[in-house]
Amino acid sequence: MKPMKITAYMRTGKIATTDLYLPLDAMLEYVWIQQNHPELLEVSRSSIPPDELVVSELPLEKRGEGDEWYWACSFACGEPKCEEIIHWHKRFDFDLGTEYIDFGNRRGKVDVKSGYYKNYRMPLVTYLVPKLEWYAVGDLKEVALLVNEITHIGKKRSQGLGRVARWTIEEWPEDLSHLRAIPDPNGDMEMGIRPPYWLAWQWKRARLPDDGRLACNARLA
Amino acid sequence: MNGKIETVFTLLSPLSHIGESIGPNSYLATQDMLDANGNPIEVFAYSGNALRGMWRDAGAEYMLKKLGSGATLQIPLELFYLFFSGGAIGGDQAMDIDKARRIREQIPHLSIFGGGVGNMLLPGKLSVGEALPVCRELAHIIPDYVSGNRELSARQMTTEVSYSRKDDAKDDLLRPYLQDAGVPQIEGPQMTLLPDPEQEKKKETKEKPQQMRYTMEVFCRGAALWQETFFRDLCEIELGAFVAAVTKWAENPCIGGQNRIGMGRVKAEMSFQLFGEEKEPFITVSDGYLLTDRAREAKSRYDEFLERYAGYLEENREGLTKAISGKVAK
Repeated sequence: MKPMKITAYMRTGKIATTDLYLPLDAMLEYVWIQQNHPELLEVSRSSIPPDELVVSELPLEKRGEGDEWYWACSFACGEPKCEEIIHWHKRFDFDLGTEYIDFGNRRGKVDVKSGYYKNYRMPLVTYLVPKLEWYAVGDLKEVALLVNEITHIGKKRSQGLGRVARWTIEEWPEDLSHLRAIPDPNGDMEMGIRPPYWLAWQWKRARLPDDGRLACNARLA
Repeated sequence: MNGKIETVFTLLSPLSHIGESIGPNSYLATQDMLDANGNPIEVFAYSGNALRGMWRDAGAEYMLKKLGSGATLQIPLELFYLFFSGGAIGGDQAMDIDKARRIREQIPHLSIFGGGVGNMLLPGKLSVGEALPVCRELAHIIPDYVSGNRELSARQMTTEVSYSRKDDAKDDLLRPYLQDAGVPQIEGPQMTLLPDPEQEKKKETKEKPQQMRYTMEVFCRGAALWQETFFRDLCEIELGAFVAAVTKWAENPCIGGQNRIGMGRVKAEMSFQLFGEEKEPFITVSDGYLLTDRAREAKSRYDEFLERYAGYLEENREGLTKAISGKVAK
């Protein structure tokens, strides 16, 4: 287990995220699940009961005590250049509807202003980042195998956002894996400390280092 | 299989992809991107979501035409919304892996594009990226083998076209065809009650003007756009479903808006690459389509699958609805 730096060079630089935490261990876990439990990705989940949670075996050092363990892997470091809100749209296609819908005995009217068939113009917060860096402690070769499977970062990957052009992984003289959420009873917020970070029941009181290298702490010009 | 499909679109007519409208004028959608020095620049990009929606529609049409065995298969509103727009989930999200698997097996179109089925959200297997113009600003991003003018700025590849919407009701030659609802008609050749001039004036001010001049910013004919679609965990039949969607789209190969006035016509060169393997030609769209062996084989597997399914549907009209609910007959 050695300290390392992992760098993602972005294609267009556009990443959809609201907080810029972008923990790499979460992405590595996604790849690990793709390889070891692909059935879990057949359907999206909004929650996972404790007895169904699969804990991955990542080639990273485990830190912390008891239920407050976490991977020795930092949150994303980097300098976002700017923030931009873009929009994606979802709309009901009336032209195709007239050809393909069988209304049966029902009235052929579809309400696209509200309810189930509502049309959407959804705002999406994006950041422009040339490259992102993470610091971790683990098995460099094994981490490289997982990292190279990651083609996109952040939200709305289905629309091509967060495309990574290439990855580099190198040994690093300093262990900076502490640039992440660290469990701390005196911490100022409840947050995820290990993947899946969105899973609220395993959030812990934690602190996030006030370090300018973290992308989430960066100040936009 | 995991890999990507690269597409180079060449515009055969101007492309309209509106990002902003001010009054009667519309402007192309732009996005912030990084230039070669890592600084933000604003460049036109054709949204990946738009391409994804376009291929989703084409794939659904292909499936329903095939399942209808020549005729158009009409489906309930909920299924239409699911196949063409991705559906929506109602209520708390639920999870049933076996059911999700059965749905994926029975409806490859849904498996690749994803959608909300009942209370389940089935993630798609495609990541459809935005189409980027080959231009000076993005020359460092677009691979060298993609032809196009890398010296010219994307701004220089746009132009404005203006159109007039004529109010035919004000055309004296066409006016005889207009029934004037304000004038009570009395039987007889020339007898009418003249309307109150004051009332008529008020009515005129209420009517919205129909005649207008409008302008659209468009991307120029001849420009090239480069695009990547990543796929993950696709089986042969699912790849065939994607090829089928492209072949259906190839019947009228247009992107963007205003297709009804001939905009957005393209030719497309698609290549296929499995991760760790060489890239190979895949589909050419230009006055119809040309499939390479891999694309043709995948499509015929999908066609065979749909033909079997069409036979089942002939005996069981509720078949598709049952497939969605997870009660699938083989």
